[in-house]
Amino acid sequence: MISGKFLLGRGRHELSDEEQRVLEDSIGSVRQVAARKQIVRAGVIIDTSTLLLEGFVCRYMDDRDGQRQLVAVHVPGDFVDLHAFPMRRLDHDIATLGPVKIACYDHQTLETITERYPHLTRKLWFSTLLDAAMHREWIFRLGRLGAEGRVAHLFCELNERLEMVGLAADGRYMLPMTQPDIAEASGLTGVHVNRVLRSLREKNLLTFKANEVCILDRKALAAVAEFEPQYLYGSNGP
Amino acid sequence: MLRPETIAGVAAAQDGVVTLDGRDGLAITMTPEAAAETGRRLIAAAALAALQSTEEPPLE
Repeated sequence: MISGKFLLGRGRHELSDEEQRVLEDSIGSVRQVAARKQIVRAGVIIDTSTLLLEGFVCRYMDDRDGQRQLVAVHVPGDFVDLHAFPMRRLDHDIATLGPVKIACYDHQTLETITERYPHLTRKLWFSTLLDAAMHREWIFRLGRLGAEGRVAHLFCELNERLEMVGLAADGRYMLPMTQPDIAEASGLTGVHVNRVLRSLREKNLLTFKANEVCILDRKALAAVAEFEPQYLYGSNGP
Repeated sequence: MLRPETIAGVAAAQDGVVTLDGRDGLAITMTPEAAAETGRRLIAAAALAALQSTEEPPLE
């Protein structure tokens, strides 16, 4: 099933075979999008929601000078803009980080799901609440942690999320983000990120080269990041 | 509520800019000129603050 990563590691096993089939059969279209392309613009009324099948996307907001702040990074299995179903438009932009494959769900189809499948509907709701939990953690990350902590936390979180969907193992995963991307996700400059990455490497905590992340000491990196994964609601959901 | 920081920030020079790291989420990069002027202002403000009362004003 191409929608098979939805809630993987976070309660997918609670979906019945029928619900999984409904989710799969409700896909309106599947398309590939190149890297660094905007797929949703803030304020525009939209009538589909996107399930990320392959690749990474980011949600971001620009300040008045055009400086970008990433407010979320999404991995395969995430519904990227399910919020648009009840809200009809987003308050932020969405763009691809690397090349992606996405599945589009018409909002009319989602409406039918909410009418006929209450348990599946709660799971869709749960997935938007996962976004909210990550947003709260990002507020903490950016408000309370210094530069090293912010970057370390991002890598720890992505490792945890990618492990859930089978795209990270033994602290290693591919990540199509540049140092400027990491800077924009961390409220830092590229120079600062470069300095932090060097420091984390010299402390034998993490390396990030050619888009490959290698966490060398998971426990120590998590300590620097003040990272505790409970807010990701993994291991079978709530 | 945050309390005044007692541990000094760490300033470093890299690639022609100054990074400042510290607790409570302090993390900023500045040009050399901005860093130098900030430094001057910090020193002046620190001198003034050292002469002021440390009692917290009553909550309103």
